[in-house]
Amino acid sequence: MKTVFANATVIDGRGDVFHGFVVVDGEEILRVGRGEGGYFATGYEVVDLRRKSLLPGFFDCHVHLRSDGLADPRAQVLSDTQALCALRSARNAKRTIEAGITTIRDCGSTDFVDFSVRRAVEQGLIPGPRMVLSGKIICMTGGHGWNVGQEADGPDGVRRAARQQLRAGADNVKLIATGGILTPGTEIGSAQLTVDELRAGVEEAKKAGAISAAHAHGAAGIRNAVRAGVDSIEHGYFLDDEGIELMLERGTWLVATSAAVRNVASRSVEDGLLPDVHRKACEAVDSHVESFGRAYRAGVRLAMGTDSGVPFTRHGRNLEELAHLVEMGLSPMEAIEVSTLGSARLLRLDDRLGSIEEGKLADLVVCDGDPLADISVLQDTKRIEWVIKGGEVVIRRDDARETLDASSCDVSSRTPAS
Amino acid sequence: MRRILSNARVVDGTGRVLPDRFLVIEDGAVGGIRPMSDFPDTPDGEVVDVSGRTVMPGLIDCHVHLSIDGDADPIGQVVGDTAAMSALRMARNAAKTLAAGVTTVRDLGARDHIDISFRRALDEGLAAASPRLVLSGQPVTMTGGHCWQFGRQADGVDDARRAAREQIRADADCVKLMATGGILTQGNEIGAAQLEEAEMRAAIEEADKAGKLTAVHAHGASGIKNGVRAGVHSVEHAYFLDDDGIDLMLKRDVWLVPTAAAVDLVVKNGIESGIPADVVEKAEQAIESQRATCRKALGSGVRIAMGTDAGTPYNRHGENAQELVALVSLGMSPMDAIRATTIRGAKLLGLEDRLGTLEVGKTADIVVVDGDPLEDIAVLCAPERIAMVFQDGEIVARLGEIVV
Repeated sequence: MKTVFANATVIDGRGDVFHGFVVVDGEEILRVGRGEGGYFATGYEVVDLRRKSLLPGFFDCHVHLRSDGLADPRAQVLSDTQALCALRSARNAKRTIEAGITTIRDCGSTDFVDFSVRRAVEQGLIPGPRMVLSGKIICMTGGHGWNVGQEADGPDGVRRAARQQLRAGADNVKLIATGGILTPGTEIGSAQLTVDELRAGVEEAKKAGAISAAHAHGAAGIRNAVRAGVDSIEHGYFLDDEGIELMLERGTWLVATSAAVRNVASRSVEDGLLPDVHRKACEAVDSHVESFGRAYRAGVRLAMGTDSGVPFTRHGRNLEELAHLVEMGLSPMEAIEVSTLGSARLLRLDDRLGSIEEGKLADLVVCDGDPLADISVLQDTKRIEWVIKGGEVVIRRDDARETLDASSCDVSSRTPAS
Repeated sequence: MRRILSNARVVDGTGRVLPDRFLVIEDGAVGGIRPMSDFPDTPDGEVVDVSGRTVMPGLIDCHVHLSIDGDADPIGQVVGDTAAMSALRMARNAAKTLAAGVTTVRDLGARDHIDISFRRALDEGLAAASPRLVLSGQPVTMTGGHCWQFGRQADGVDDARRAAREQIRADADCVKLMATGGILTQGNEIGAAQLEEAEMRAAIEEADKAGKLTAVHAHGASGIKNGVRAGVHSVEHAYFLDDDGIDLMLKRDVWLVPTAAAVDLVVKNGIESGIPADVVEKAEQAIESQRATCRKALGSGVRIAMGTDAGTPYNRHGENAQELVALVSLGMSPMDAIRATTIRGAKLLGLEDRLGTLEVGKTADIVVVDGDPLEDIAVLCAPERIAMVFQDGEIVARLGEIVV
């Protein structure tokens, strides 16, 4: 790509907004400038983005591409063949990038299918975002997610399980510190892997240069995970002040997945939810909103994650999470920063991604609207007009090539092939 | 939606050429083919002017392997891929095939039943663009036989029967049997007989009972005859077919799917392109005989359906029409090549009541080609000349690109 995006409202991912232009050359951002001046070297396509916003490609630090977000995900998880799981993940990867998400962290797949899907994206077989992957989640025997995860007991067991994920290609070790909403028989608040077990998993991740994340709801489990040294707490719905203090001390990130709990609590058993799942979400949602507010005000580092793939949290609607963040107190600018540079920092990709800066990779989104005035414009996928990944145009919705009217059938003026 | 293709020159698959027609597509089917002189003043539906183009039935390829890409070393790719990766390749290759105007394929073997999973994915809407699929699951082969790396190895009559039942249980539409060695399998002599006639008969009985198709991969003359005597529907390749074999095929009314381009592509690209040396050597041994026997078969009255073996070295998905060029170069008329790729393919696959010709009431699987393939069959090979592809009456591809 050799393109100048001119007359744009640039929201740079670092908290700044200005009227200006961005020059993309190849896979990188070559220049970023303010004002009308533009950059009109020959050989560059000039795209006029008047009244449109140019943002960094968004991040979602918590998805499960292998699940579609059905009311009861168990049948899909248990009956999919590896091939079907891969095709499902591929479709969900496509929906994700179509919504403007150019980087995801998948927090747990089946059968190492995630690694094949990433390879297929890299080889150009399918469209999809950049992927930070976990392989299988690691849980105690009978712990949250045990039917798809790698069960491990004792520090040695968890260490081995972490090494197995890393061997398969994981960049993130996902550890289960407490019960979960979706797993029958596990109470959401109860602690699961011990601090010593968690520490063994985190150590292996660190040695391999990978990051680690803990699924944790209950206050005790959260503290275990933070003490064990994880990079991020996922969900954290019952986070208490002691946990917040510890997270601040250790610089631990919070990935709040607000969409996940809201989308279950706002539905009912009539929608196909298991009674137990609905009950647990209803018990958690108020505490989530309240504890998130405290964590935000205290200055806990935030990254964006949706848990897309859990009931009614569908791939492609990831940016609804920003509206939830704004509702819970963030400014639209803060919500965008959390979902771009903040998330890039958690995933340790901020040297190349997460903001519109000269020399960074050209992962960009054009939004027809002003998300600083109304954050919900981002969740209207029709308004995400361009999605660019590494200088490659993945989506271009203002392009006539996407329209299906009969007039584009006309090939009479084309030069016949020799 | 009702659509009308106006100013069409229809090559309808039955052998007829109907100039100056308009073709009505209604409820996913062909609603009418009438002279332009009857064209209504106020047409009811979207009119697409196809002047200068040929309107044909969707093409049918009776021999593909969608899960492999057509790289130099296909067996290496199968062995190196995870099942997940193989499935993702299959989805991509299916889309390429459809974009080229091929609206129905028979896939003659994939690993781990990923072909069946792919069909489930289509049913679920996880993927949209694919030809109609006639699937085989794993090919049934003897221990160490052709494609043993991803086939179901079976030895003895009872095991062959069980192997066939396993494919049928998995939801295969066709049982594929390896009657002789193959070019791609290291250590296999191309002509050597492999599964016994009795083993194949047991598998074929199971397919017949379940109402499924059967196909044998066979090169050597004795293996071909074993397959034919065992009662198979189609012989694939048959590069060393002899006169007795032709007689037997005629007597039993067995189809031949010659896959003529496949061997050419191996020989033409050669070792320099990365194809394993033994593969090239076997193809070189076979090519002269393949050309001679194929010519002889063309003149013999043996029923021929088109199959490419797409997925073998440099035999890329979406380039399926090069097989028609190969068949024409061996003496088939362009009209016959088109019939082999439409109505005859449909007959072999048992789909002729719905597919294979453009006749009122049949499914509107249609290709609109820019030019006249009867004049120059190679126009079918140019993606930009595949102006439109319809499946069930809906436009699924334009100018060689998928639009769904």
